[in-house]
Amino acid sequence: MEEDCNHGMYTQGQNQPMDDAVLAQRARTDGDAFAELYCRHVPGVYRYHMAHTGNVKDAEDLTSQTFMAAMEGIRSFRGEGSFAAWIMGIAVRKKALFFRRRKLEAPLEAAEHIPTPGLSTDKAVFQLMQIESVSRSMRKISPDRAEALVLYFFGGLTSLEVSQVTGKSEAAVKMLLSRGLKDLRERTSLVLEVEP
Amino acid sequence: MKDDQIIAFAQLLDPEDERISALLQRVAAQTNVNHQFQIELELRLKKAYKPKGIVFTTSLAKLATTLASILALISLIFFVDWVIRPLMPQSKLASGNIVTPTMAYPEATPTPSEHLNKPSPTPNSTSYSWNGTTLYLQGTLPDSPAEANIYRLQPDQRATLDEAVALAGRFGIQGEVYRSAGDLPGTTDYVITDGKQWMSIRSDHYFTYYADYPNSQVLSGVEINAAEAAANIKAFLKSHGFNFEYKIDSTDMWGKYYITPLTPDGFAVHIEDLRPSGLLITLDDSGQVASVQANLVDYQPIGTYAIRTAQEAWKTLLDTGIQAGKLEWFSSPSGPTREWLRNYPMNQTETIYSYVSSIPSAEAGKTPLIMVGMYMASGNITGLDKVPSNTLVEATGQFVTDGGITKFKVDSWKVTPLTEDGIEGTLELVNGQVTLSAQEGNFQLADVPADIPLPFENAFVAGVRLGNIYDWTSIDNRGGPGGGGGGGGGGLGFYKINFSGTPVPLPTPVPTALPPGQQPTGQKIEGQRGLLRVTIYKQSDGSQRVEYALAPWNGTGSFSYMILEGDLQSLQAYQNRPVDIWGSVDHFNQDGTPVVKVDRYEVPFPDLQFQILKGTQKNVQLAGQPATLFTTDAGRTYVQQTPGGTVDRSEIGHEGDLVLIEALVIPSESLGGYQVLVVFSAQMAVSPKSGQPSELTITADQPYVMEKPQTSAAVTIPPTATVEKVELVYFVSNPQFATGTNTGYPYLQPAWRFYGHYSNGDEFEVLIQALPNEYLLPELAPFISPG
Repeated sequence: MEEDCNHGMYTQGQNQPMDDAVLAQRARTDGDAFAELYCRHVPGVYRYHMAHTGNVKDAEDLTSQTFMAAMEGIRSFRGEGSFAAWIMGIAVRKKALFFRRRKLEAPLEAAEHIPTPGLSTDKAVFQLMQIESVSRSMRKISPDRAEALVLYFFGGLTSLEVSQVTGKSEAAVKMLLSRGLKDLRERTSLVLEVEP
Repeated sequence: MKDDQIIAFAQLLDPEDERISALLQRVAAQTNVNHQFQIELELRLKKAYKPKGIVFTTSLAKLATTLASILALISLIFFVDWVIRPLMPQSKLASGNIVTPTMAYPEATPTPSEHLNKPSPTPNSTSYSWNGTTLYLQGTLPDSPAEANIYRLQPDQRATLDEAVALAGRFGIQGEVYRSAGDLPGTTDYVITDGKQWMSIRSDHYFTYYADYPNSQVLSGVEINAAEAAANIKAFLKSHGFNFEYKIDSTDMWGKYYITPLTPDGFAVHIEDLRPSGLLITLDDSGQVASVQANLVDYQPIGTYAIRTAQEAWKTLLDTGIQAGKLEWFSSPSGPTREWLRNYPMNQTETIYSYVSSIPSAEAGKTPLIMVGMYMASGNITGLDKVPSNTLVEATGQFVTDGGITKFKVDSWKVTPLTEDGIEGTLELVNGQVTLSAQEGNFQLADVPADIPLPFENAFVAGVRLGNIYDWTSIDNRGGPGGGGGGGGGGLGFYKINFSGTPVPLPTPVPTALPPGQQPTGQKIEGQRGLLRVTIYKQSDGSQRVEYALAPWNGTGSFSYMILEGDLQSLQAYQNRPVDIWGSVDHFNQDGTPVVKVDRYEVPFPDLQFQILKGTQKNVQLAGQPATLFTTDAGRTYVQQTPGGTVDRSEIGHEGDLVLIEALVIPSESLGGYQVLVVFSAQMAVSPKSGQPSELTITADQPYVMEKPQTSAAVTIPPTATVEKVELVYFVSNPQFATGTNTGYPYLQPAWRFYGHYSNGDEFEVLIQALPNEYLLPELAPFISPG
């Protein structure tokens, strides 16, 4: 949510969910409002999908699906929680569907080697390698913990929002985050792979 | 990413975890959307935007069930993941002095227990304060043996092809052998199937069996009588050569039972996450074994050691200041889930949409296993093995019976551009046609099973959209009650064992900070200044509830947000204005937010008015931190602050662009010599799209209005916890996912296990290291988390 969107409706104090809620209400009848929400949340949604899929093609596809679904269902957002948590819930669902069929039909190794078009610079390739390492590492730890970590660090949610998306208490989410970090440190070579 | 949030979280971390936290933060920050893609998607969204679209009647409950559906789906995926990966071979266990679960002990009488899928009653007994809740102990603590064993874990040996075939033979599978990706990187497991029964085999310790693979995802939701379940399981184990001594326990996972082998001294072995080492058996709705997932450990005795009593362990459990020597888990129960799979008529030509997979043969020169969905494919399958996995195909053919096995005989196939998705909605009869009514639209479904009760709310339907036809493959009720499966853990882990015979002092436990929501109440709030937040919740019955809250500025740092209670009606006119309050923390609501009983309040600037200011922004370093200055077109410069009281580093457009902001100028607040400007909204003064001057109106002075009934912010009573079972077990960190770089800790050591439920139905387990300090080293044993 930290990007400047320049849609002329940018609201500051972004960590205040109500601001998004107002926009979401306007977005029912105002395409610019939805565009503003899109602009704010596309980085988090994309990062979330990148962290899980590890490749650009799938992340872009899932990001598209997430926002298309969000637009179709924008009227269902009533502001009970933050918009970020709401749209990330959609992202979780889209990701779940994606992995559901992949899990049944394809070995993970194959999934990891789907080519990633559109990146040509060394920097981009390096960054892609990093996110691929993250994605691989997340698959090696408890799914609950991985989900909490990805929602928190890549989706940009607060622990409270993660709790709203995952249906767990905030205390439980913090425990999952703490345990997840420990898992990544102890059970994966993520630090060795990603540290500069 | 919210930097202050990350920093706050990092402060809670083990210093070693801060590094990986920072690493994740950095990778996330560097993971940026391709600009071209972002623009194109925005254009697609705008093109697809329909402001006058159908108004859906989705409610909060619907949203909640959607999230529940998501969680349930995730749980299913993880379940399927766990279930499909492991494989197994013929037992080659008991050898030499190695203690193994197979064939080592006479068969014992299984001890089935009642299904625990409901909150346990709170016993009328002594209560204890524990982890911010009230803990009850059901019954009394057991007598403790004076001694227990320590066992050394034996490494798992991967199955050979012959061993895999032999193990499958025990289950009556006479099929071809294939190789699929294993559960650890770089490994492969065996798959043996006849098209109906299916086994994945890593070793004789780790394997998975399905009695009816094509229907293995079907969740009947039927609860089997405990005695009948135990009898069926016992008969199954006996007929399949599992002759070890074991006990049977029902689980909080619907329809699943743990079969736990016992050690020579008669105790269960437990691994992480409320799981014993053993067999996890799922029964179908007729009570027969539908699947078996094996997680068995092999071990050998090292010696016998004195242990702590159950009473001593109980004291350790209650002392939340002690985190080492302790492991805690909790999990939400899964309710009854019902799933229906599409049943196609036999011997009739059908066109289906399904994913194709190809699993290579384990034997050179043999053909791979081609699966269309969950069915073996035959007929015109030329080229299907070349189709990349995870490809959806449109296949025309017939479901046929071949040697008692249902297969899909392919007439023709092609890769389809369509995609499978899942829709949650209500299945109902509309003009005699079963229709799925959902946010995505209304879809007609064919061949819906007659036993689906209509209308069927919260249905989750997977399939392919063909216009207004939904070519469905599965229907389930995971969007409704049920789901569950979430959980977490606590405790730092067990100490390493001191085999030297010379005691080593252990560190004195340091009390740990209580998590939010579990902090003591009564904390005084003295003149806390912050921004008032007034929210009006409109109830469905026409009534409304007004909630007052404060976002503190420069306060004690204890709370970032607090809900206010008291006689506060006159504050309603001061939305988003600074207020000073005096009072005390009365309780914490279910979100852990403190609820403050306000004794008195003051509005320090009653005449403060919102302004629309035009000017430019500039990013600077101020008082050692990044900040944004705003200079009005009249030449006055302020420092921006968020409504939450933190320095606002936001910038609209590019530095120097003319912007409009909706703000409050706070008379007495300053930073770095600049007066504070609390910014509520902002936009470019000239629309970057139209080039026309834009307008900004004041809205921050109005209370937020929420049309949906909200959960009351009144007192939320945390669930109580009841320990229902106390037993001595052996603990070993789950070796299933041990890798070359983390082999875990190779000992099975005694632990006191306290198992029970919270009053909300969550189950929990606390393991307390049973070895006394003289047998421990001041170093935590490596820990392997479940994969």
